[in-house]
Amino acid sequence: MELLPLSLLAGILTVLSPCVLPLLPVILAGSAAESGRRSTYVIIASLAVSVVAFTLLIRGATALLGVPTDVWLIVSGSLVVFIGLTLAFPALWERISVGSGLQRATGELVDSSSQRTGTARSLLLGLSLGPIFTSCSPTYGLILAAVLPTSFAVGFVNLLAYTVGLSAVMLLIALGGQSVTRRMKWAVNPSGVFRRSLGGVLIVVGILTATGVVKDIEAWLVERGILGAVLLEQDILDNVDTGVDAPDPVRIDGSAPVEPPAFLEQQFAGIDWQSADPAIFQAVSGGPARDGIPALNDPGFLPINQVTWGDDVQAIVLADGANPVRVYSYNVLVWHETVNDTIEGVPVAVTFCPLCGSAIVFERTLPDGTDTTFGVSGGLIDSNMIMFDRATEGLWQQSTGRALAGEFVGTELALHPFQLLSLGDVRESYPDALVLSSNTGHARDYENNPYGDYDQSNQFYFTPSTVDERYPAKMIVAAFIVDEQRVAVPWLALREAGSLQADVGGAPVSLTVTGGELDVRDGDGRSLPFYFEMWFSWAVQNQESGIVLDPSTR
Amino acid sequence: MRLLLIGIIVAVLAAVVAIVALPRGAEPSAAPSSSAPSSAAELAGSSERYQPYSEQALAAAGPDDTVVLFFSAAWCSTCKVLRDDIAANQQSIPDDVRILVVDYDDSTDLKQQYGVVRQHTLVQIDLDGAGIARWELSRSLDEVLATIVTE
Repeated sequence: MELLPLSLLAGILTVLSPCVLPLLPVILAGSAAESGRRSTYVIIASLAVSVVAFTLLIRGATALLGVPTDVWLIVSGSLVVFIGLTLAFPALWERISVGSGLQRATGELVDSSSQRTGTARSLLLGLSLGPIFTSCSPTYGLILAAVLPTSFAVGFVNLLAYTVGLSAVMLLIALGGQSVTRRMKWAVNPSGVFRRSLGGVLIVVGILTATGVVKDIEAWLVERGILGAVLLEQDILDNVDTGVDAPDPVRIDGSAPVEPPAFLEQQFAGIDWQSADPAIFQAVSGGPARDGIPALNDPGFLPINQVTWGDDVQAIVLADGANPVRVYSYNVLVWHETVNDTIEGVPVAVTFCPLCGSAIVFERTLPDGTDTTFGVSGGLIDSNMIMFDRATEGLWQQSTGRALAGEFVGTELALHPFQLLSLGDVRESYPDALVLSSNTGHARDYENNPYGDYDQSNQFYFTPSTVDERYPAKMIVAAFIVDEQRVAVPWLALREAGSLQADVGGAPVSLTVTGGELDVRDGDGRSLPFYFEMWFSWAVQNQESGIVLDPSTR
Repeated sequence: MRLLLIGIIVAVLAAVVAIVALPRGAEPSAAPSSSAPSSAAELAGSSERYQPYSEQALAAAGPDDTVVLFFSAAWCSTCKVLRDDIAANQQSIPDDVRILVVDYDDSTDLKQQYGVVRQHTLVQIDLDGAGIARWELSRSLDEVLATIVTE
């Protein structure tokens, strides 16, 4: 507990640090603009709550690590701008709240309602500062890094002491500012110029915060040696026995997490994680939760001559054994990722993962012979979707068709043959084809791709663990398995070449493309099923053992 | 209190706009060229053994080298203390140690990968980029070197 007085002192000294630069003008202007002292207390109290809450939250919730710093700046900055606007344009604010029925404008209520507005405004202002509070105090760092991990209670008490110190100084500054303005009677008028210009100050500070300029100003100060009380605090920490030593470094193993991510653990409660493939522990949440991207189970179809989508829309086409031919166009698949269908008695899952361009048709029969349907778990490994089967709640990686968790860990789903064609090709070759209808029962804009130009750009949403630079990341390859070896062929080059004969580790294969349709055969002339995928994604999965056949270098 | 509700809506909208409008924020390591030059310019006294992080700088490390990432923000005063100390004592960095400075504000992916929650964190990694150890609070080059984990 020797640290406690120092924590309080560090909180007090923090006000000197450039790190808290944006807090000062906001608190000063915000409290000067409100009429009562009560507002000032509310601002400071909500600031304190917000600071402690966000400090613990960011420390504890690893999910928040994925939020770029800019986002916090924009959120906080926008709130400050918003509050500034309500002060700078009180008439406008009144009109909005009255016009939308938010506030009853009867005579007696005006007073109390304006007071309520003031309280709410103060509360919001204080809360808005928590997300961008970044202390540079070494003592604060010590509390977080050394005390909190060993004893949450002691760490929390020290954190409170620090926050009390910080809040006390902020309160003095705010009350001081307020007492100056109170002496000026004209300043209290809500529509007065002074009050409106305080709103203007908040707008400016908010914009500086949201645009990150405030960080540049801080950096400028720091670069010029204005470090606040850092050196003083370090001196004290060196010379006072706080009973707290810097902890040993935390051992991390970035390559192999040993626990399932929390979001999967919560949403797939029945899974025995002990038996799971450790690869599943690397899964990250893609955003939408389980079934947030809804798989289609009872798909409807339309004759292709009733479909208006353009000739260049790509589609998964089930031609062999389907009569008439069935077509699943990307503009619908991109919103559902999985279609559970039955083709001439064969249960299939037509799957498409937009983030890695993988189009794969599986037979949805589990290794024990039961038929299942597949859904989208919301998890991703290296941008590739993790599917789940509804019969056993097992998790399957789409790119490999391999079970990563559940009863069937290690087994793979059987591939079902299909073609990747444009709607133009389909119109020419299969005028009687049926196309998956946009009448899916889900309100989605099938004219629009929610991923924009992702498939053309060099950017990722989720950076792959490795990038194999032999080919452009998003280039599409045709992939198949021969003699248990996974093979990829650049698809456009193969289309141009028309055919390719090769020897894969002693196994001859023959590939031909006719009218856009691929045919892959092994040495005995047997047809091999294949699928399509972006290069980076195939390369991630087949880094060590994958074989690339490039028609253009043969 | 309705103002509070509207305020929360404003915050949520701002967050949504920020996330939608900042696709590059989630993707810094594929674009090291955009962040590396600016931090290189700001990184006083950089050398082969102490330089801004980039995939090339990591790849240039020899097989027996120890690599330490220094998550540093330009606005962070404790980071500045350590930056100055390293720059001033460059000649004391052993030949087989490389300290690569990562911009804390632009490196969401790396922060996520190594579990970095605060500016001024050091992460020792292997040559494949896998994390070995993470610590905070180092104030000087000596403290950094003393904390490096040996297998």
